[in-house]
Amino acid sequence: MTATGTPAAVPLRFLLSGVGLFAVAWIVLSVRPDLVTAHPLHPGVLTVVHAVTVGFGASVLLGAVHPLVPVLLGVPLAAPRWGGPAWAIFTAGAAALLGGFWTSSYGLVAAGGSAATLGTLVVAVDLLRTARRARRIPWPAACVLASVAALTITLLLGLLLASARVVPQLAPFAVGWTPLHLTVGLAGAFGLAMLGAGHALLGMFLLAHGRSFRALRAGAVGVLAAATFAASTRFGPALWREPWREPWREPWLGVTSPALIATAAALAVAAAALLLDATTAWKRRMRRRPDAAVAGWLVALAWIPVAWGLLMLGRPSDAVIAFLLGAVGTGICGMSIKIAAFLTWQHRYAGRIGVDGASDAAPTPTLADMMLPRLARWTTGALTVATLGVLVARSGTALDAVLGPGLALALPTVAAVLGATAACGALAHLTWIVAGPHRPRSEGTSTTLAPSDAPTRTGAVA
Amino acid sequence: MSGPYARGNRATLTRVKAAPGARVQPGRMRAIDANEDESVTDDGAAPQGAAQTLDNRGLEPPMPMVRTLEAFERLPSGGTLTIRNDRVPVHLLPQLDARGARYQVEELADGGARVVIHKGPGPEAAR
Repeated sequence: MTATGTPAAVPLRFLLSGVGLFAVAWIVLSVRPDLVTAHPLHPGVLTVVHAVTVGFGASVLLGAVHPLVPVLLGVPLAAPRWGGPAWAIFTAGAAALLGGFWTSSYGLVAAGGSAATLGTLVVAVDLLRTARRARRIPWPAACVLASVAALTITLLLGLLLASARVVPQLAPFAVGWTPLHLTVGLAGAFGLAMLGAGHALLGMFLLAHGRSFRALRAGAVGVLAAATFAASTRFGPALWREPWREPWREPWLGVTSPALIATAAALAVAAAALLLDATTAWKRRMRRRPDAAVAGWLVALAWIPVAWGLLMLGRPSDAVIAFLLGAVGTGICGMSIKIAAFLTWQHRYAGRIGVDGASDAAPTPTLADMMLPRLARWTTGALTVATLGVLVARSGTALDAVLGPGLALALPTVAAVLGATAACGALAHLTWIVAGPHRPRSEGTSTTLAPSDAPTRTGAVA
Repeated sequence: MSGPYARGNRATLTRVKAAPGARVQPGRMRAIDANEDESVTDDGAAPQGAAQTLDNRGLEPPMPMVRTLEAFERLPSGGTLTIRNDRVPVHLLPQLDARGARYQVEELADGGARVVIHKGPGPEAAR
């Protein structure tokens, strides 16, 4: 049991199934590299996108909130036993959803989406009840809670879109929701989660305490504004929603309607806030060298301005790829390693600390002993290169001219295989952390008062 | 090195003084007397009724938990351990439950927390 009263198995199950579905997404791309350049509404593309968003991102988010929100709020979860059923319902729903997209069976998509929404709602209600017990809700917790709310809204919107394919009478109500579905899902669920969880976790793992919440506030306002502007693409006046025409349209600008420009501007504020917060953590860190898992998170943040730039250049699909595979995929793979290590350490080893004879019989490993830094670094690097490869492969004729037709044809396959290998590496890493026979790598890792993986004061000051 | 982090990497033995007016979570320990101010020794072997304080601020998880549990196990029966953390150590509390400890959590205005842990008749007896 964790300190929150939640069985450690619940968040670990969410993490393992989430990273597993991330690997599935990359494996599908390896088997079908033509999907790299296919239309965004191709069934295979929809399957891969939702494997990354619902299967991977949402699953890891729902798992991470179980240990994280109690820490941020300072109170235990209100209903920790709900976590197990929530995981089962959500994961079964996600699997059905993906099967539905792959087979273009929108009845199955709607059924799977309903189950995934129900699983998310169970967690959301638990978090809401937990938040009501808290004395105060600090900004990092508010961002994380809002991200779960945004995930719920995204799933409901997706459910409406899928249901409209099954029930024709619903079709008129489903028109125009896609920009909001995308914005609330990507910026609301994942962006806010990266803001709130990133602030808290970087503070803990880089030892960068005492940062202000100004960046979080600005980021939250940016995401809220972006969602509002995205909603206005459905409800706003025609002049606001419709693309500008020549001569008003700038030739370099791909985002052409006032509503979308406003959405992109708000997203820029949110992205800048996220990067500013991480930069502040880096500058104020007491730990000079982050471990490989945290470094993966930091490297992933570099994809955010890339995604925004691609959006402004009128390449929204590329922007989504850069954000999902680059920022969310690489970042979450990195941080989930750290979260899993902490949960497993607490579950397997915390009970031994200080107990006479326990550490003599089996030395207690530190968090560092439980992680495989080389594998984590390789995963981060390979996912980064694979994402870059996918984006380059989508550049079409320009790629043929630079690489030649043969290499250009092979690039999607190479990138996808690299990504699949990296995602499987992340899954293997998680499995090792959860079930591996960890051994202390160095002396001084016994349960003495001498710090183990904490930095020394003199060595840690930036 | 100055600042709160300078105190983080060693077990610091100081004097206990409860913060008057601090919010107290429902705990299983006696209420703190605001005027309580007990003497300690600095060899970790606190005498009966004496108190030990551990400053866990500025440490990477799970070091605050490791330090606290080690210090708790060294504490004699009847001793009190007060820890100062960056936040409420929600992951520590079940570990204390499992060891039969009684504790009281105070949330402080700066977002940190102070936990007063009382070692009762001994872990064996508590179990």
